[in-house]
Amino acid sequence: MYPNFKILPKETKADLKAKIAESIALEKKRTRRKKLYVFSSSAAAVFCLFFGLVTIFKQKSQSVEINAIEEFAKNTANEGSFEKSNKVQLVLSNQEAVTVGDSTTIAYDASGNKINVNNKQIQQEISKKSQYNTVLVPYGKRAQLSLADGTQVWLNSGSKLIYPTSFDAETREVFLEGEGIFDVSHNVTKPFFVRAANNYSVRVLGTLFNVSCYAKDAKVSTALLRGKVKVAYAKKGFFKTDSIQTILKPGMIASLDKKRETIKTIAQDVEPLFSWRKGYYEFSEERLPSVLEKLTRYYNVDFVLNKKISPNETYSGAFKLNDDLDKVVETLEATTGFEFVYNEAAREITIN
Amino acid sequence: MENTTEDILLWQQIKKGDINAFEKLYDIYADVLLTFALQYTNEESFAKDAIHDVFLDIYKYRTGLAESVNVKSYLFKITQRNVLKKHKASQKIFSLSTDYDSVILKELSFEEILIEEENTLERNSKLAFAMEELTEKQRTALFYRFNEDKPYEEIASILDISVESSRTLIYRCLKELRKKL
Repeated sequence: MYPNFKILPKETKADLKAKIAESIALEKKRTRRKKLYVFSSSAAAVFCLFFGLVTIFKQKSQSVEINAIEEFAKNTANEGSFEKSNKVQLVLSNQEAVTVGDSTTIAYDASGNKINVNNKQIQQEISKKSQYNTVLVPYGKRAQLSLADGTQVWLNSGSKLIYPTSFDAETREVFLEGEGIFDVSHNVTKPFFVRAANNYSVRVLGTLFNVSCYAKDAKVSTALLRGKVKVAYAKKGFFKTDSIQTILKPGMIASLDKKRETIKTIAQDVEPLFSWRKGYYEFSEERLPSVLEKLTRYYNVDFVLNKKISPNETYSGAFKLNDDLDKVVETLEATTGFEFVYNEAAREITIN
Repeated sequence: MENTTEDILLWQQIKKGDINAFEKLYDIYADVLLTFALQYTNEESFAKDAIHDVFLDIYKYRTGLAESVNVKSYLFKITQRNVLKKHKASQKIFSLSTDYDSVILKELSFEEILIEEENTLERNSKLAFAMEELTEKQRTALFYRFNEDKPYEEIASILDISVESSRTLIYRCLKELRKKL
């Protein structure tokens, strides 16, 4: 076998050199692209990781945030709707519903096991763990409660209050739907929270205030008569810190716009807002639709407007809530000058 | 094959990413490597591709290159490996082609293959250096005589010398080469 003595042309070396140079240039481009790819993919990975962590963290924090009473409220949301009955109902911890009469007062003793309903004693099963009771107030009715810690609660028409029979936890928490006035007994070590749907809460130490949070209303409002409360609303935002808070001073109303997620505070005469507690509905410079809306709740009656009402017309005055509806209609007719037709069977009032 | 001081210097500069040193290395060794690669294949393109890959790999992995290597043997070794690889790959595709019979390694054990490769590397690299020192005329004569199997008369006419001269030319060349191997 002989060696290969082949002679390559002179240009071969130069050609090959040019080819190598070309390949190197290509390689450079490729590594740059690779670097970019590596960078972008690692950036994407980091982003995904971060996003995932945040999501997990958010879920965790949310699950922590949803506390027992809100959970209970969610689970029992469909049970015992107050619209079905026209009597005030008290749902005990064993899900037993007790119907109680009109202008009710429900009082708990300190242990939370003995309940005095209209001077009649009800013994509730004794259990070590505090359990939730629910009061359902239908439209046209009102109820007064005295909770285990001595806090007084007035519930307006179409309201629901969930509360523990005894306040064993670190905080006193109740869940409200509708409207209620709270005269909270002072206890610095156990702050009192009124929670409402839409992550709205009112934190108090010892005060007298009114919370109105009807599901149908566009606004959730809190009016303070005495003491100091903190109103907080947890936005359905990305971070837990997305909450808006306001501290209220007596004579102020905080109203949360559910849609815009903003809290506005206004100072005004709040006394009328507490009037229903004493059995009358007081209003000043209110437009007729808003007065009728309140009356709808108080008397469990629908108003049908067939008349154009000037938006500038406002009304001031008071209705005694124990009055007959006929009397109320009479008064309305006299003041507005409209004709009110009351259909008792349909509980409907047509305004002509 | 010993490292020259220039080899060491170039190698270090290449490791640092000096493109000029890289070019210089090519200029120095391209010819001898081509001659070397041709000992394994008759296919010019295989030889060229093998060397192309050698230098591209050096560029690609320059930062990871070993600090102290015998530059020449490194180049020859990688060239040999590449050219054999290409040869094998081509055999898979053109199994009917018998052009490369002369360079196909017979079926040997792995160890034998390694030894064989080692030996041919040693021989062929020396040969390549020796051949590089021949004049073009000498190499042409040798090529026609041994690779093309041309008679002395024809060689004499190609090189435009007498038949006698061509005989002596080839004879002397072989003597020279043998001395160097």
